[in-house]
Amino acid sequence: MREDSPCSENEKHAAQLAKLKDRLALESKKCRDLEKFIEVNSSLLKFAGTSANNKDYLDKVVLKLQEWTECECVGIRILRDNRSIPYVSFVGFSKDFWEAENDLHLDRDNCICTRTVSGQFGPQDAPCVTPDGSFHCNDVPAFLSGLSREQKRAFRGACPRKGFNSVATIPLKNEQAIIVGAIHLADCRTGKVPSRLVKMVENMGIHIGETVSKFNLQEKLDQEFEIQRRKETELQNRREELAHIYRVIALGELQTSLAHEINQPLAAILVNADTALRFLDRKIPDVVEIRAALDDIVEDVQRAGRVIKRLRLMQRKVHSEKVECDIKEVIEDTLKLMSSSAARKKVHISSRTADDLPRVLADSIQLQQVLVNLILNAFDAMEHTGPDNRRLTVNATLDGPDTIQVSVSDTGAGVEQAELDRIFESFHTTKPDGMGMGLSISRSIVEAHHGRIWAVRNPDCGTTFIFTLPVGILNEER
Amino acid sequence: MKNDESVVFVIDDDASIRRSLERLLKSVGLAVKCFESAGEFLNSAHDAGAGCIVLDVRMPGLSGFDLQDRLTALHQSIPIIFLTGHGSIPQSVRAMKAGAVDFIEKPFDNGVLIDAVNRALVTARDDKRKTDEINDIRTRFHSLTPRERQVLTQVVQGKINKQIAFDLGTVEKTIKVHRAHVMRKMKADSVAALVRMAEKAGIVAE
Repeated sequence: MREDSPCSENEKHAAQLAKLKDRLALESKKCRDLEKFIEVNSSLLKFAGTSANNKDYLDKVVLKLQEWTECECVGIRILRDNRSIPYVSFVGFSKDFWEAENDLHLDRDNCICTRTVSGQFGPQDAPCVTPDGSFHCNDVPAFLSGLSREQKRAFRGACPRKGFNSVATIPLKNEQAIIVGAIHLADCRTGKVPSRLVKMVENMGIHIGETVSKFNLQEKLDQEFEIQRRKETELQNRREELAHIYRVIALGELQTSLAHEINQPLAAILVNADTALRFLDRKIPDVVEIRAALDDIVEDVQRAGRVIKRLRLMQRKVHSEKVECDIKEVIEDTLKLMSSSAARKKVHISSRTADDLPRVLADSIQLQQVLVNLILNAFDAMEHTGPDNRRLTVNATLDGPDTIQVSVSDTGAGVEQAELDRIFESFHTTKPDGMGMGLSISRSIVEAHHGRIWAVRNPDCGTTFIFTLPVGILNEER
Repeated sequence: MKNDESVVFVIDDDASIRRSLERLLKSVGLAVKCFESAGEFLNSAHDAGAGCIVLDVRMPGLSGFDLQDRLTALHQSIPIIFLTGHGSIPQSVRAMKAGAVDFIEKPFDNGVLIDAVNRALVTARDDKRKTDEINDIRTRFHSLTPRERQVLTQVVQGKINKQIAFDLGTVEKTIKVHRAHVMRKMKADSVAALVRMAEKAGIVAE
């Protein structure tokens, strides 16, 4: 016994020591886990403060959770207003899994994810459900084999098919304890979602849920703001279109009256010149009459000249708003203006503008008017093109050292070669309800900017309208 | 072509057009009268005679078309040549239907206008000759006594003297005398000529 005593005493101590060591190891592990948990939590707090929106925030969260839980796959589903629960962020899941499982809907689909978000589990889930409403299973095949055929129907089976043996779904709750989404953890190894981990994720879930709620609210506000902004843009578009039409009509009337005013003296000149010739052809030319006719001709030529001078003055007044402007900006503004109209007409617009284009001295409103004209024409031309092939391309490039070339290209019906030269004339139109003013006004605007405008047939289909703007005259006109 | 009664009425609000047209038309020997508005023309004591009108469509106040309508309402069938800035088809169709003889776009070739004016004057003279003839026949008809008019009416209906005498309750000899007076006063050398006159002047039914 005495022999034994010290020995057994020693053994006893050794055993106690070992036990204490184990406990110490466990405690220090718990400590490390806690430290880790605190670190993860503070990271999540930081993400909440530095992210712009849910997607941005949750992208960071899933990566952190993957690192911390050591699960291969982490996804976060968010409950939308239409009661669908797409993965806003995920990591590790394969593309086909995401494609098949992303589009789940609370009212249509039934699986562990939908039940976690709705908070309504069935009796088959009971062994795996925590008091806080999470589902976790560390051996999925074993769990499923214990279910009846009928009970198995409550599972879509996507996770086991992917070989996920460990699966957990943890609800995300906001401060009012309303479920706003769920974290989905999955791993092929068994035992990867122990209760302790799930409990900690549940704790984090409250914080994540609250942040998601806040971002949801913010997104909703942003959306409303966006809708409001779009309505305003639409209104602005309509105003611009109306102003454009008024301008076309006003210019059209102006041209008609100017045509009349120039036509009158021309008619008188022609009559007088011819009459003078008749008097001249007589055996004895009537010098008095010839002189009178020539006097009248001089007067009428001056009269026509005055009309043209007035026209020039008017143009100068119109062009007094020329300032340095960036053609890229003009194009972008115009396309923005036309975007709703394009969407309505199912036209796909693309634009390529060189970044280093020099600025031009121009009236940006007038240049916009030219672009709007050309774009509206293109829309009309593509009316009978299939919706998939309605493509409009607006490009701006530098053509030589001092010329910017802007092109508007469509995939529409195209213009006959014979028509190409005439389409810029006043009152010439190929449209049943056209006034034949748009292109002639466009031409006068481009020419007032010392540029040129023309059209070419595209090799495959449609037409390209091209205009140029010189860049080297910035200081000349001031 | 010269005819003292032929007057070209130029109506245009543009003084230089008016002057140039007056000079041109006078140079080919036509009589010209100018008016600066349709109203002025209507108010003037003009004798349309065998003339024609050269008319600007676009005028302040009464337009060219308005004048055409007024003249139609007044039963003045005077040929009108319209001048227009740029002629639109509906305009010209309307004017032509209402009896315009020509529609000329400004600026125009002088030859075109002179030809149009001459054609209009030929039409006008034809019209005038017809009107004059009818007026002449009517004047002669009105110079007949009531009895002679009755006889004329019966004669142009192809009745013989005996029938007429019976119808009018008199003797054949008296009718013969009336008939001779009718032929003389109406300047008809045959019954056929008398019938043609009656038809032209529209007095058959009387």
